Amino acid sequence: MISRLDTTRWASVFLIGVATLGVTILVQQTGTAARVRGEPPTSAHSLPAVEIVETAGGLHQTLVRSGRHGQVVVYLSRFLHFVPVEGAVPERLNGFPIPSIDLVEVSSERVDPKNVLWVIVQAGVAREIIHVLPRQEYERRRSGITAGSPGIDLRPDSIVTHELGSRRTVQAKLPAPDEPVILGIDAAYLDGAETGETLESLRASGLRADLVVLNHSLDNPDVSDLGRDRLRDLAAAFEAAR
Amino acid sequence: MTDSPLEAATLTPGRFWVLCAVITLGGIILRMHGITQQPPIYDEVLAAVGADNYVEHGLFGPIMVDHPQWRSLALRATMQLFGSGAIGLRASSLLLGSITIPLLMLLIASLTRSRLAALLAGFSLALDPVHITFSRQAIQEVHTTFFFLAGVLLFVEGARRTETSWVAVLWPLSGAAFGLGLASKAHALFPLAMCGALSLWQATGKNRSPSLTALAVASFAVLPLSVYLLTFLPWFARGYGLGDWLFMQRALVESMVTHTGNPMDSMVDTTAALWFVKPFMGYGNFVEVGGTPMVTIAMGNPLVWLLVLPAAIFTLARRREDRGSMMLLVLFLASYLPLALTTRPVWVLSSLAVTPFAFGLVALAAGDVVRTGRQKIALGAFLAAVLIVSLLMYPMSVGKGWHHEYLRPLVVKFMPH
Repeated sequence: MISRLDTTRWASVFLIGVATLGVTILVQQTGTAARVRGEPPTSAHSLPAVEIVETAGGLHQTLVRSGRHGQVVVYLSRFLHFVPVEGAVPERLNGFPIPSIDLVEVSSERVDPKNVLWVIVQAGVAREIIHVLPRQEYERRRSGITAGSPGIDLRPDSIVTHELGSRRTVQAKLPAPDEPVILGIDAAYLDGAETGETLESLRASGLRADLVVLNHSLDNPDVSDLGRDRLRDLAAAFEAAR
Repeated sequence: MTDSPLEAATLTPGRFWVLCAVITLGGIILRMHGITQQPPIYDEVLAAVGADNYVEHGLFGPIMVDHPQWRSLALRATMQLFGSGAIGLRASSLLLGSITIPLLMLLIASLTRSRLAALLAGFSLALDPVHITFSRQAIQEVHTTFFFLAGVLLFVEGARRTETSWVAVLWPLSGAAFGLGLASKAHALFPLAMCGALSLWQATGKNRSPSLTALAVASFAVLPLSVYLLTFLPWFARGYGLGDWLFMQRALVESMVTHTGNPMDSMVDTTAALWFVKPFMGYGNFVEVGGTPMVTIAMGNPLVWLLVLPAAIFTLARRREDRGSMMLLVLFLASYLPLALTTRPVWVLSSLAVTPFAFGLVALAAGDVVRTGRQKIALGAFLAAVLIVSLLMYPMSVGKGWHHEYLRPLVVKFMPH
């Protein structure tokens, strides 16, 4: 027989259970509801929207204007474009009141080829970044990392790290996440990869994108003309396939 | 109450409450005095910016990104209420820091049944320069202390009432307080783990009870985690799911455990094992205001801090039979040893995870020693000395140490070179 005391205790346990379930559903729902995607391609053979931009600023603007939020961004480049914007809050603020500083706005104003993907995460467009590097570049970077370095998980085919807890993966192979992604291809990637080969890898990867952005990276002096020419070829190939 | 005969005769309940109020009021004055004139340190500026950006965009940073986000939620709420001036930034720390003083007195009274020990512990905390410093700053240190002390007190009171319906209210409230403590800083984990273990021990002990066991698990494991999770709601609004949250938690815990300081951190006095052995250890924050250096320094009062370890040994030797005193000792050890034994730097600001229990031990030992009228006079003289030393150190807590010649030898250590 259950005593009155037991009933009170079980009632309390029940309420805690309900509250916990409510919190769990609330946070998960908040997260998934905040993901704003574009329309995915209607069939396996059709292509998503393709945008062509000239600079890091153009890439940033295109993604922000697209209204997308909380997506996975897969970016093909020879570089990581992930240098944090420092000094958003001036050190010499010695008095009250503290001015309001919007970190998203500040970083958006300072976007450049070195930080564009970091700014895109900051802006909330991306919740996760997958950097795809040419194989040789990936191996070079990997060999420079000491096993057991804090915050870096060296996996067989990838390097997993994070920015303030948001997952970043660096790899050479094209990924196939189980959701449509924003796919960015930088001319820097094609410095070291053939257009046809890249197209073929994209087709074979099973990667689903609801937006493709091709970045000529005219503002990046480390990108060769060859890479930009190949990106033009890639754009033409996408256009022809439509 | 199990006061000594002398104590029982002189410290009536009425007098106890009056003294509680006097000590609390004194503590509030030290925390509030000149608060609007104290310029913000850079940590506070960053915390204020961080609060806005956490609520608006779900962003961590630009400061203390490894720590949970209760601070940002509290700061944002008070800035909405009072603006982004000194009060808006510091209201939550001032409030929680001040309430912690009577809270500690209640906890020590509840644990040890000694009114004198309760008052002495409250007196030590009210005058503790470290607690004063951080009650006047818009960061989370005193929030954590307040919440875990509330959690312990509610646990203890619930544990005394397991045969009544009160336990079904007090333990969940305790778990919620611990959840907010965890959402302030990880230090709350140690007393939470201890109370959780004790609740299970009680529930599965002699009068084994499935309902009490379930209540213990729900209160001290499930509920704190839920409260903690809920404080990440703005972050989830960036599109993340529970899988991402687990990844983030793992990443940030790893980052916290391996943290060795930011470029701007003062790297002096970073060994927690020396807190109660080496006098004048401190944590400094430097800013320049109108060409004048301003260094706020949180530094323990050596008259109290150096008594902590002897008091712990004394308690172990003299009060082994007293469950409440032993619990206080175990709370101290459970909170202190992880910090004392770690190999990463631990700054003096983290001492607030330990000092309330440490002050409880000192107070308990002092209360035990005082038996005669003469000893009472000696205790009075000691308390006067604690008061004087704390007042002499007070300018360092409020950023004015450099203006006092006698404090410069202590302050200079924290000036950037």
